[in-house]
Amino acid sequence: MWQISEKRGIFSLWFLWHYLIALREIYLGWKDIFLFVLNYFSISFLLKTIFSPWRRYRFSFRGGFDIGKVAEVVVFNVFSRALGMAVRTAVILMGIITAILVIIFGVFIILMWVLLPVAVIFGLFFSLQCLIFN
Amino acid sequence: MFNFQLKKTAVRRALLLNKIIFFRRADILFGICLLASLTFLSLFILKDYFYTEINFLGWSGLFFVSSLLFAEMDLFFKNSVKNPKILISLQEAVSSMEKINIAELLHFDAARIVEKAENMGGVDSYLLLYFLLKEAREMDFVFYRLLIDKEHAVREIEGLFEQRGRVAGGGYADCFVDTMKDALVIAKTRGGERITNEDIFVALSEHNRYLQGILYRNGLKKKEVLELVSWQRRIKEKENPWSYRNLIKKGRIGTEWASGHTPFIDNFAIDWTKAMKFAGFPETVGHDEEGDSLERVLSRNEMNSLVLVGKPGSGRKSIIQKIIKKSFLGESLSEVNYHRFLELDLPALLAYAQGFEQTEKMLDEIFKEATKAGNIILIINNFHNFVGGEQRPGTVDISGILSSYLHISEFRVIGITSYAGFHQYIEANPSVLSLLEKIEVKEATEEDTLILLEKKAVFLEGKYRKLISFAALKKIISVSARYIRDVPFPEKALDLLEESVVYVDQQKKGILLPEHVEKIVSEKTEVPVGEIDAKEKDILLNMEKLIHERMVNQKEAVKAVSYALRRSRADVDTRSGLIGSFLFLGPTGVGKTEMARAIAAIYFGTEKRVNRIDMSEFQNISDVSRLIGSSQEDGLLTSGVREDPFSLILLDEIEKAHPDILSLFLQVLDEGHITDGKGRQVDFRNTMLIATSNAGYQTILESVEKKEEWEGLKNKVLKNLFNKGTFRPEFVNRFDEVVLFNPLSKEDLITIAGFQLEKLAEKLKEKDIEFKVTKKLQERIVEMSYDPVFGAREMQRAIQNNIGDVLSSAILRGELNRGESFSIKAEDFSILKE
Repeated sequence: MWQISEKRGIFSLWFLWHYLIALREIYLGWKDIFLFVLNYFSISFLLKTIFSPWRRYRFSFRGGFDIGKVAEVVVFNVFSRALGMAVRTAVILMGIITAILVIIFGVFIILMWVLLPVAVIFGLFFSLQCLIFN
Repeated sequence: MFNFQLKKTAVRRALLLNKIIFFRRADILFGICLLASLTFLSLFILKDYFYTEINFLGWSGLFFVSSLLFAEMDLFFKNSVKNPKILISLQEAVSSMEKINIAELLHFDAARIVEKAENMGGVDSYLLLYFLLKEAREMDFVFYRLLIDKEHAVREIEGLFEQRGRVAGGGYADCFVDTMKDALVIAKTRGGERITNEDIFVALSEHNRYLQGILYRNGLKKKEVLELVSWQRRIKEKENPWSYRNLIKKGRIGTEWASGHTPFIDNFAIDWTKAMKFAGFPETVGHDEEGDSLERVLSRNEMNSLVLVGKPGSGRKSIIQKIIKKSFLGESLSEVNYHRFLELDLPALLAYAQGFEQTEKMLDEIFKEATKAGNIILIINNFHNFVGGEQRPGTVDISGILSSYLHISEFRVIGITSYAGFHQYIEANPSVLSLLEKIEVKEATEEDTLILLEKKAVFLEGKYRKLISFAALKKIISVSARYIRDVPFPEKALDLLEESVVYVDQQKKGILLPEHVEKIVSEKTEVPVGEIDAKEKDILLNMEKLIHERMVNQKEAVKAVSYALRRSRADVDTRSGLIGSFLFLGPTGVGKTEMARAIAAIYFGTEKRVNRIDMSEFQNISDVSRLIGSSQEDGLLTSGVREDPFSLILLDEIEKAHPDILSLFLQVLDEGHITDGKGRQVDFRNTMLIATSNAGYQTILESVEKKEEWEGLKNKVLKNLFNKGTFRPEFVNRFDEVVLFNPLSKEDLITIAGFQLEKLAEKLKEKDIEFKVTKKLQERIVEMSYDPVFGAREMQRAIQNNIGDVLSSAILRGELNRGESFSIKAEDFSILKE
């Protein structure tokens, strides 16, 4: 008869679950939140369009040569792009900071999870010691 | 060979650990410990306010660590021990059923049920069903929706145990083996990973006689049980709120900064994207092919505007909503992702603008803005109202300005229109049509409609505080498919559901049952729907007798019509056509029209339900528009059936109609519907069609004179008619029955004379004058009018001329007064007072 389900001892099963399966689940959850932050702040999109004019506001030059008009168009377009770049840069920076915070939080959670069994054992030991001897 | 050994499975360990409270109730213990930890921590903080030796911090720490321990145990038990890893897919398991231990594939809950059954000794499907009903919470939903008392079923099965006895030897009965094998196949078919309690229940509906009986009494089959269980599964399935797919529904910052502002459009548009986001992106069902086509067209560089053509209510808007969701989540094609879908509110714009010129200017501004913005997809609802045709209030022809923008790749439009609108206005406007892709929207399937009904049922239950039974939902699908033809799925079913719930609310009842749905449909369509009531049963069973009370002779015709009606109402008719269709052939005055009237009066309730059409008025092909209508006028045939779908259509003198007009009836007779001149489908399935003709009457009369056999006469008459080209064989063959009416004998006519004179007597009775009809008078009338060619028609004339005139003169002269009684002398038609 075929063996169709995994059979392990309870401790080995727990060890595998805690340090592999559950850890992977936490990692995937953390990855989802990290990707959401990147998506929410549209970092890659904003980087691609960083020099685009703000809200597509753009003047174009028509007619004969008029130094005043040319200067006006150039100044406006430069201003529109600069405004766009400034706002986008601010959002990108906010996004990067949030992403870093998510990374730190994720690492913290993963570490906590890895240390949880040890923490439980030590916690039990110390709290019992504290109760018995004080 | 069937291998099933629960004791040798990995899930068995979970069953054993489940008996230990620390594992079974680890979640509750976690909560208690956490609460205790917090309480001790609070006491530790407040310890200065009271004197005590207790070490609050130590206890708080101990309970906190214990809560962590129980949380770990709970997660480990639920995620790992209860779900041991399975090394093969169910697909492989089904194909290798003999080589595996099927018990390994059981879900923990299912294994628990089987274990309980095994503990009782040998297992059969009854024991399995018993524990399933008693222990599995999933069954509550199923029985609740089926309106079956679960506890009663449990008690009945307990009673059956005593009658049936147990399986000998502690093994597995055949019905258990079949159930498990079937459950595995069901689990595989639904794409599951393990066999669940629901899968076992569906399998039991096939292999357990008791459950089959319950389901049979409730009109359910395995397929319906499967649908019901799927409904439960859909309700249970909840999206993880922390999943990426759910999180990105919050939107994103900055995508619109690379696109232009649209202040002008925003004043005259409804933002569908925003509305969808506000509603939490409700799930749309079905129409996948149309959605894919829509995405492809929108992502093109050229010809990227389109028109969605479909019946109103077929789900045209839900297709757009599906794409909006994909676009918002960035799951569509790159050219469609992160776009705004705005419905242009043209009626609002028209109300604002003064005159056509200003409208054009404003539209030009809007289209320019949409093009410049680069992320706008415009939706124009009722597109046909804005691309030509006559100008009506609330409409305008924007085709000129629209076509000048449609060739710009950044300008994209989705028009929504109906078939009639498309054919009448858009197709007639080649300049617009050539720039638009057409996507036809099919009617939603019954399966998709059921899913939508289930979703809406949950909402309506909350709103009206009523329970909606599963049988009522199934009834909504079946009756709306059969009786409501001019509105497509899913709209007609969703509307019917809401209307039925409101009806139940009005009646102060708590549960929506199939009969409530039938009642609503009967009221809406004027067609008797549902179980045949006692009165109708009586009519159907005595149809022949009732018709003969009004009809003389013509037994063959009466029998054929009665059989057809009984077949139709007992739902044993496999045809998709009408209640019945008959071609009555015979000389004039033998009762063909009278028979149709009698049927209408007896079965349809009143003679007013006869839609009589004189086909001699349709001798030219140009008359077709008077029959089925056109854009300008309603059709005699189609409008009659639309207004009164439960009626009798009487086509008199059918042989005189143009042959091409007769061809129109081929579809009616075959499929039970026709499309009228306005593009609407007209349903004939609740009508009876009777065509009368005296073509071939000479052959009938000759045969009767020669006293030939009646049996072969029908073929002889039809052969003659085909040879002469009066009717085409394909037309005649489509009738349920061709019925020959035989000429009336003198005896028949005497009886008919009696009917006619009695009718006259009834009229006089209203004036309180009693007219006594004598046999001699009947015979005298027949003697005066007998002519086999004209049948009873000549007799009517004789009564009118001889008796009618005498009576009217007598009444006017005051010779016949109220309260008097008289008879008429047969010899000279003089009045004899009594």
